Amino acid sequence: MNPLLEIKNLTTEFESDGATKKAVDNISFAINKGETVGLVGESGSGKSVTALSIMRLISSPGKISSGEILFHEDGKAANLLKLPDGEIRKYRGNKMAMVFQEPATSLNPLFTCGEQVAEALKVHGKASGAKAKSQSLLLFTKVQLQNPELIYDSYPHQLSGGQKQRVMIAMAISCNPSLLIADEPTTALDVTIQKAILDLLRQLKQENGMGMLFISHDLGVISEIADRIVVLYKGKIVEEGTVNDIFTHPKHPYTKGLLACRPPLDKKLRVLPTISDFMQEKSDGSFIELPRSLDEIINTRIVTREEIFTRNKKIYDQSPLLQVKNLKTYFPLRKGIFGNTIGYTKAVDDVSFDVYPGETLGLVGESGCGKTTLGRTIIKLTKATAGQILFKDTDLASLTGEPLRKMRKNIQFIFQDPYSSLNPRMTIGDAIIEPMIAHKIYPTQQERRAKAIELLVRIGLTEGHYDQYPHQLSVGQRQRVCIARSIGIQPEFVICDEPVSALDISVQAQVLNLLNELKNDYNFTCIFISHDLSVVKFMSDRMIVMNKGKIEEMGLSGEVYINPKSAYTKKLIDAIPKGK
Amino acid sequence: MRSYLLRRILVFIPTLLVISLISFVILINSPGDPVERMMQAGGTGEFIPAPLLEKQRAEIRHRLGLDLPVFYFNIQSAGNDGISKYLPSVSFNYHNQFHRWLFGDGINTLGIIRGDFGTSYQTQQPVSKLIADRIGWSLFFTLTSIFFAYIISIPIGIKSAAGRNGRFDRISSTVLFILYSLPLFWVATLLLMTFANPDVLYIFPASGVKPVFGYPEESGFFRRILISLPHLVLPTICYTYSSLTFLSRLMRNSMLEILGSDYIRTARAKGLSEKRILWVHALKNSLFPIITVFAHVFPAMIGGSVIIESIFSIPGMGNAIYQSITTQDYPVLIAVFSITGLLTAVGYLISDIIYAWVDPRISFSK
Repeated sequence: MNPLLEIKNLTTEFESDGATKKAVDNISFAINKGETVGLVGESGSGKSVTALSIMRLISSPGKISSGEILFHEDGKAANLLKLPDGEIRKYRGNKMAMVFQEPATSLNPLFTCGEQVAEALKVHGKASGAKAKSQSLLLFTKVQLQNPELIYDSYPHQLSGGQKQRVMIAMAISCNPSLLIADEPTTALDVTIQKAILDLLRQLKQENGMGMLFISHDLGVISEIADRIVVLYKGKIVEEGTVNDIFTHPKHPYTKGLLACRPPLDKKLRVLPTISDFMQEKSDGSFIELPRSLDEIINTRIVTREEIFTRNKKIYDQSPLLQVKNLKTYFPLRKGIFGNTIGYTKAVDDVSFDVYPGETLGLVGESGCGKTTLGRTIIKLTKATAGQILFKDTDLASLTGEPLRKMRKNIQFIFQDPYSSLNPRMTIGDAIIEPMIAHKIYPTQQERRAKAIELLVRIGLTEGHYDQYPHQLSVGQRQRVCIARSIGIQPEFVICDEPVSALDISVQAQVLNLLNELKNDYNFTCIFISHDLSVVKFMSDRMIVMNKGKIEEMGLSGEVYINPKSAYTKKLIDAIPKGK
Repeated sequence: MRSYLLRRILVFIPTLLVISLISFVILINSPGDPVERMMQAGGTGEFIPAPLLEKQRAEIRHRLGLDLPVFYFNIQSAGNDGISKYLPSVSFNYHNQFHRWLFGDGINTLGIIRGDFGTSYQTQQPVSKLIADRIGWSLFFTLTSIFFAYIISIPIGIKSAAGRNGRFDRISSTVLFILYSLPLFWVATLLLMTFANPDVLYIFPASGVKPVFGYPEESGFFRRILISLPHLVLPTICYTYSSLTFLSRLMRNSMLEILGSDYIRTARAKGLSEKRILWVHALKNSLFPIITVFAHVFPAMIGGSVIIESIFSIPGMGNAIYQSITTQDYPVLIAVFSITGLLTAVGYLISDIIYAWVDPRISFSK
């Protein structure tokens, strides 16, 4: 044992409305030199608070109320919590550094990337003037950024998400810290970029001999990089062990749930396991463990090949509900004083496919591949440049005015971000009722209210939520409300645009299950868009892999996964964290 | 960046044209006959025979260009008989009131483009001269008050945001709120009664902007400012305090928002000092709302303040405008209106340019 950082009985509290809530409740664990510890848990479990407590970056109304954080160095240990502000600053960015979740907002938009990295070097006296620049360029090379000179003079908005995260990493490792804290560094990124960043972190850790605290809500990601795993649940550590231990013999029901709720790739399940399959939470915060093993749950839910076959036969014998023919959506690139069009961004470039009644068609690809634009073009939120969209043999592209409005009742959309797709000044009930009023579904307010409450209960909320506002709900609940809002007018066709990518993996499983149940109850056809191939595989009968606006590959979900034809699909599959 | 600025300036030109059109429409629709107003003002009250009077009228009408068509084109029926009676014929002509008003005719008027806004009904003097005489002090007070308001409010805002809910924040918030709710005329009067009162404190002179007997001969510009200084202190305070409170509040809120952002957390995680975080990383980002407000403050330059100018007897634009309104002196009012429009457009142009200069993201957007 050669500890680098020891956390002893750490408690961090947040005060709101006169009540204190313990975000982190008396936790203790250690990180050894050169070791990577994975910290896993759902949002609100206290992962980030732990990281920020170590850096002493908890800001009011939060406060570290008790505990010790010992930083070992040259045989001496310093309690970070006792250091004066001036001293702790010598640790931050120097001996311990942090990479954050959102590369898009974590860099100052008004300074060039180079300035920001060089600043970290200068503030700790590692380099100055021209030397700071040359060293920053070296760091950019080290984090495998192409064209370091260009990156140095670029502003954050000119870079992609992956590039920004590399700049953040360059900044974090600039002073050769002995501890690197990575707080969900890949959650906002595509799978292929996630893989590249994980590879980079692993390599840097090896080269620099850093200890690392890697935080994620996804056990799959953590297993790719960590040596040891600490499982956090409601601010407490519920389990700790090596990656192998955790994956083969999870003891705590919560860990079991976390392990099980990621959609499996080798088999198709009817319903995804969730945390509640393993434990029952009570209102006072305690829980009862349910005596079930993981295998037990999974084995009863496997969809057999015969079942898949009969289902496919039933679906694909019908004539298509939606036909997309040679669809193109181009965005003009403008330049110069008068905004002359100098070219086009081909977001959707000559795409053709059919969707059959009752089917779920998966659309998978990285950000910028045109999958969202395709979805938006189908319901005419974006104008198509060319091509046909036939819905029950009516060309949607030619519809305008009242007929289009009528058609919209049949085609609904579920958006990615449950934070911004609900009006904060509208109650949950009003949000669900609004499309009913717009499409004149139920004549009286009483009927609409009754229907909305029925929907709320159906999606696992209660009547009491009817008069609440979005900010009073959790993210998962909000996404359920968005789903209810779309389903409430009984559309025949629903386009789900990344409905679970803003959610934790445990909440993701619940929402996916809900979508599947609703699909059976309400009998709608669905296009399911996601960047996560494992999610798409679980949800869909057939999938389309998109890349650069074109269809790379199309086929039955199971077959595309087992037998990918294009190199791009192989790359996508390869990048999925498999878990150990 | 350069193309953005060029585009922004190109948009500026049609804006000015629209402003001039609106001013012109208001001008020609203002109540009363300018000819009659001119004759009344110029008349001596003697009896003048009717034909002579008519001749005088025609002369003034011609001098004012009122005998010209209103705008660049006329629409008339094409002919007198048959179908052509119902067909429109559009004729363009160069000699019209709008063109003359804009560019002048070279004889009687130079056009507003050269600063000729016509003649005041009241004083029979050129409007431009009246404005030139009066605008100096208004400009001076507005500019100094903008300067002081910004230079004081930014540090106050930063300091109260940095120590949120701390001692300084609470005290400054309370004081600023009290200041903000005090009516201007009351503050002005109170200042006069306290600091320019022989019975209490007689530090500053009670009225005017310069000594009663004028400046000593051969005193230079700076010498004159020095002499005027005691006269200027109290009005400047009155001009400044309300925008000062507003701007401090704006700065505080914007700073608070920035301090809660992710990149400030990054800066802290880097190990930067609070001072550097505030003054380097947060300041630049939090200036945007304050830059936007600048566009609104700018046009106030020509307006001045009637209240302050009346109380302190300052010969500024505020008083001039007030008098013009009471005497229905439309040429003066239209001039002020047009210049205010121009200054608003200029204010927006300047704040857009500052935006583009501070924010690298702007020049790249469409």
